[in-house]
Amino acid sequence: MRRKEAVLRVRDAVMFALPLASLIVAWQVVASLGLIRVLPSPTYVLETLLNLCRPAKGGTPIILAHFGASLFRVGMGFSLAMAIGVPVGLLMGINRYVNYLLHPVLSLLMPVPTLAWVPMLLILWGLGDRTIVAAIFLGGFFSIAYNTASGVRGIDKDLIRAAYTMGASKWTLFSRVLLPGSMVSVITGLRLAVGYSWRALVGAEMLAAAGWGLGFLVFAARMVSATNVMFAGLIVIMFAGYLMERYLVGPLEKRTVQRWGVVRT
Amino acid sequence: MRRQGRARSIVSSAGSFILPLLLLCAIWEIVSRSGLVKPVLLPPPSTVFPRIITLATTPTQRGGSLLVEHILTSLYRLGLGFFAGGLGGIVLGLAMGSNKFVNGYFNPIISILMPVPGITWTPILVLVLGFGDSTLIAVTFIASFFPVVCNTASGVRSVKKELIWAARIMGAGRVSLFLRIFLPSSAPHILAGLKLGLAAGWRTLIAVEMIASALWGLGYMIFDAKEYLRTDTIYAGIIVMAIIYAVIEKAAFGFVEKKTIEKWGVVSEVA
Amino acid sequence: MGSGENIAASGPAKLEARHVRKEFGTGEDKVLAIEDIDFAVEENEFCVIVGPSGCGKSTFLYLVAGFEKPTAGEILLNGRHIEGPGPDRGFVFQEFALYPWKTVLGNVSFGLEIQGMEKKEARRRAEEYVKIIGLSGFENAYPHTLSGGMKQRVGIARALAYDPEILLMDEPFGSLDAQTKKLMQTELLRVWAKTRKTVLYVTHSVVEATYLADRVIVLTARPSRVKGIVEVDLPRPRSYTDDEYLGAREKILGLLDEEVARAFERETSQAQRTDEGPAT
Repeated sequence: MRRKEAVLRVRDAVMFALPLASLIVAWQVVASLGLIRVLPSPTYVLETLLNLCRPAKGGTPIILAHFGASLFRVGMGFSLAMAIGVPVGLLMGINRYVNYLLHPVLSLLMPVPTLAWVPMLLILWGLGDRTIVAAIFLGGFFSIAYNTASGVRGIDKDLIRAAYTMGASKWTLFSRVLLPGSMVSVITGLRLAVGYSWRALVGAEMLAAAGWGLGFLVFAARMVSATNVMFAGLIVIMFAGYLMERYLVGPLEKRTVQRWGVVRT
Repeated sequence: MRRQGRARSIVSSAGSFILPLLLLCAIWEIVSRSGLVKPVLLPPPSTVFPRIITLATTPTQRGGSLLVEHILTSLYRLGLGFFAGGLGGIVLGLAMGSNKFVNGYFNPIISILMPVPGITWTPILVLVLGFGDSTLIAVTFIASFFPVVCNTASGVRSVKKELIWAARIMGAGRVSLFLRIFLPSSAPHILAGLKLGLAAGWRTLIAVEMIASALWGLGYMIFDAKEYLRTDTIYAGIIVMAIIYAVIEKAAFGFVEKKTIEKWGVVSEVA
Repeated sequence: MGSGENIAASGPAKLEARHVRKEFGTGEDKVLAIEDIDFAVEENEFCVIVGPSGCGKSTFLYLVAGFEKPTAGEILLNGRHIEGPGPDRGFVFQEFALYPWKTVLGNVSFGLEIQGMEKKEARRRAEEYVKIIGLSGFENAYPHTLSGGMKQRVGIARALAYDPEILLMDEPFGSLDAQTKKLMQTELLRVWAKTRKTVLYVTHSVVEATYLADRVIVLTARPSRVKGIVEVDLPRPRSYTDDEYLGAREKILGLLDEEVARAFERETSQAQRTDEGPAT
């Protein structure tokens, strides 16, 4: 049985890698033929990536320094969005008046592109971490608040009635029914927010970073037409995004929502 | 009787949407004028809304209004990019949903490329396509493409087996099956994907308009305004953006949804 | 027609409904669900309400539970006004309403915990009830792994665990298939026999009502009144086929059929009217 599993796993990995490999091959072909002038070859990009792994002055590999800066900002921004977004959403879900007041503005401002707020932030705080973290916060906040609110409002009314009939107070209802009951939606919101925050990060770094960050790396590379660095940065961003999706959000869902058998929408 | 009822429901739903906004504007006005925040940072609505009018009435070199010019430019790019991305997405999505091999090939590629923020492609595209509309449309295309593919594919895959069998027993051939069963069944998913694609395309377009020095467009308008500290223009731009998007979404999808999904009683909620 | 044939046999009634009236909506959209319901339920009695669909029987149960308030009239439990939902009543929902993030044991002990019982004690009580409903061994299962019949057993245990004055059941077996339904009806009577709680049970099935009830209250079509009350004075367990059972069933059906026909006629004529296009 064990061997069969392992064989299957290997097969899956190969099936996954094959299309990607074919793309890289096609890339190499196009680059060698010089069809697109500015396209660096995959080998060149790989070489650049390895170069970037060499330590900078401080001792850490350059690419890691950029990555770390980005990670730090996204971590802060997202945590902030969660810390403020969830309570706001809960408040909206519980209190009819708060919902009445906030729901229209939330649904109106939610589709506003996150980067549209950056010029404002630039006036406020100029270049630097604060601006970027704020942009990331805005990116994640709306979807977290919105989903949390709709999660609370979407709870099966019978569950609430059952609690009241058993003598629950308003606080008990909140802490023991509304909170766990809205978990699915809250997690959906967090999931979306991870994507939005990441996008906001890259964009904001392109506009407002000064020295470090993956977005900044790609943007600055264009300034000096270092296409190989651009591509290298792109690949790192790709990788980081993929890892985040797979290893951050997935496990979170497993341990709560899937265990309870509540299907996510 | 019926006409009265419908009119009343439109008024009441508009009321529950507009009234809270007006209320918030009132609060905003008071906070702005109270001096709690620097007036530059939070200009009151009484400055912002007239600004919208001013921008709308300022003429450009070619005649016509400044604001309208910006709006139309952005919408033009969005339209083309989204059209291409949506169409391409649906085509590939349908193919992926119905054919195992197509799915097997494209799925890994898409799952690697999808998490990449659309803006990240900008520097590369600028090098290839330059600073003009083509880059912007290309980015919009990329951004709107992925959600459409994913949702379409999953829509096709989620068609209930019973519906397929019922059609087969009644003698439906491949084409008939596709047009009459798969397509309508996956319509809610496709629509949901298009909605997401439009939103993604919009966000990315505005972002790139800022990064790629577009010269026209709502994104550029806001970005440029910061050079002159015209926060009233910035806020005006944001509000215009929000309204335009809401209108587009309602207009584009509301109509289609009514004619298909709502009529069939298959509603899918997209968070 | 007969309203309130509630002859107080021994002492005051457990539950009294006095000229209860319920309207929904305002102005043009006003709907009169319940016109005048007036009857009483005795202590330890298994009382079943039947009526055509849409007659407001579930609505009435919601009024007793306190989820809604009557527009006019009053409902008294043990002589006291009902002001809102509370633990003196237990409620079993048609769709089970189990908390998906709690285990079977967690669900059953929930009511006890809410009322401040110490966790250990609540668990102990809950375990007892889990045993009574026959789900020993499933204490730590999550609701989504259970079948419909099992879920509803948990629902019943949950409602009984905190010892309410009266048990309200809203078509509890409506979501189950025919076989499970029959099994559950027998199960319910078995569990009921242990505590002899006062039960107010709502259903649209006359077969079910005749099998379970001490007394059956038949409601008219909407807006509802009490059309008639039938005593089912048969020993339990009952058979679905012997003459006495069938006799009682016929009596109830006699009252109900008229009302079902009336409700159906009203629905079809309404549909016809809307088909003819807007009146104004």
